[in-house]
Amino acid sequence: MHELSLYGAVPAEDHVQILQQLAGVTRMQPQHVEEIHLVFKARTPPGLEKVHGSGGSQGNQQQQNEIQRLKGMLQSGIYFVQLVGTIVASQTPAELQNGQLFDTERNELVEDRTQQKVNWRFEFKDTPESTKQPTNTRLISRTRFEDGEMIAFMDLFGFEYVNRYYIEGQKFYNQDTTIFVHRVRQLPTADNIRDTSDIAKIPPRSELQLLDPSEGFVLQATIDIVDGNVQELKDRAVRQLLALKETLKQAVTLAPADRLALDTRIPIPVRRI
Amino acid sequence: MPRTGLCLIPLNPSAVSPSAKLVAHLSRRYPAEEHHAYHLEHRLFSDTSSQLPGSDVKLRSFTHVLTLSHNPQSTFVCTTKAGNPADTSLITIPVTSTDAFTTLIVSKFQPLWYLRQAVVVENGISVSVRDDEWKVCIGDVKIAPKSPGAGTLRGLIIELCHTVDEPEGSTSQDTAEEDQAMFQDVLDELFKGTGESFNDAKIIITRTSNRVGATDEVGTKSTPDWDLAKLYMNVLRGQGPR
Repeated sequence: MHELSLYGAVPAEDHVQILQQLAGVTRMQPQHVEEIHLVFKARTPPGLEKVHGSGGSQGNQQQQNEIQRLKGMLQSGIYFVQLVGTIVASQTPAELQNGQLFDTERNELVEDRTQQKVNWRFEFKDTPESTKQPTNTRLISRTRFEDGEMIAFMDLFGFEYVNRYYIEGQKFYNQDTTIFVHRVRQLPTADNIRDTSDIAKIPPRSELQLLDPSEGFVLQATIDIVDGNVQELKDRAVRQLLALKETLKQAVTLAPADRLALDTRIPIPVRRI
Repeated sequence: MPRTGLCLIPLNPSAVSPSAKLVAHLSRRYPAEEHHAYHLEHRLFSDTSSQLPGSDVKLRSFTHVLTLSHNPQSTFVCTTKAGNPADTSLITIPVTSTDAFTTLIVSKFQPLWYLRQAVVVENGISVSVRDDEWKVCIGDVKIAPKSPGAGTLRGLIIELCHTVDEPEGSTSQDTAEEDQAMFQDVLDELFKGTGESFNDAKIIITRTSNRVGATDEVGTKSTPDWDLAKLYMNVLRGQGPR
């Protein structure tokens, strides 16, 4: 799956106005979204020095080819990945509509952590493609994690936990485009790595500090396409995003982000092999 | 708690699998009731570093991706600790994400994981015999083919599930050997007269969740049977190239 996106900055004082405009453009009410993001980093695989040691003239051609292939595999990029948890009410929609857990005026979940649960997904995002394009285009992969010990799983899967943060925002949908106006809040370090994903141990949102002290938001307009190799799908997505950019140009400037700011690769120290 | 025994009999790729004969034998000899189709898909990865010459094979770690017809809506993904395949960590993902997730591992996590084997059981049969006391699943294990139906034969897999609770007061220590003998007897008894001998078959037995009744009903979300998944991963890993 490929993700095409454009980004724009929304200053805090314009936030309400922008939301109203987006509601007008998309003809829908904003959907409130809260997410926990856990950042993991792939461990550098050991063993490259063994390749070096076992080189030379020993072994037949087939073995040499196999070693070359393994070397190529080991030297290809390693990445940061995320577990993203969407916070939802653990009650049924019927109970929600009674206004018990949903603040209809503010269109937000009432913050009672005991009444919330988290749906987790594994998210891989590649570094955006380097060709000059009117949007950021990158390979992405999302997999829902249903059951099981996912933090322990990630460790054995070869990823170490790095950090976590919290995202709050509003989503709008317009044709194939998802418009997400959001900002990042910092999460305190958990006492125990297993607690990082525990919703009950997350403080109320008001106690979480904003990453950007100006309290501004980011507007991200995204289209996911099933197969990024199909040029027709890609072109259509680009056209839709550019049309949206044109529609919103009085309110917010949308542009591709700096490609390296979206880089998910882990820098590898130069290895002399 | 039901006990499930699983054995995998390696077969020569050019051999004709006895599975059709065994199924025909069962249905002739017992009032056997056919259950859901039996199929599985298993991919085994090992850490890429351990594939290098000179690395310690004992310290190898594995990632399994297993789809099992007993749990048709989810796929198990299991990672094992380096050097201790018994120390595992399991999660489930939706069955619809299986291919995308496997592709991701193969393409983007190459420095971490190396695809060692991919096998499938496509048209297996699951039947109940002796008034549902035993459930038998039989299928041909083939190397995952590029097109359905093809694929090189690797072996025959037989799952025996004893659905009756074991007597109270028995401890797992006492019963391990008895279980082994009982499962071996049942296997021999079931297929007596087919000309196939399972004396050399190594049956691995584990206690599994009670899954009598349909777990394959669409729309019901059943709890994943972790022990059964581990049993299958264990047996299928053992079959892989060393």
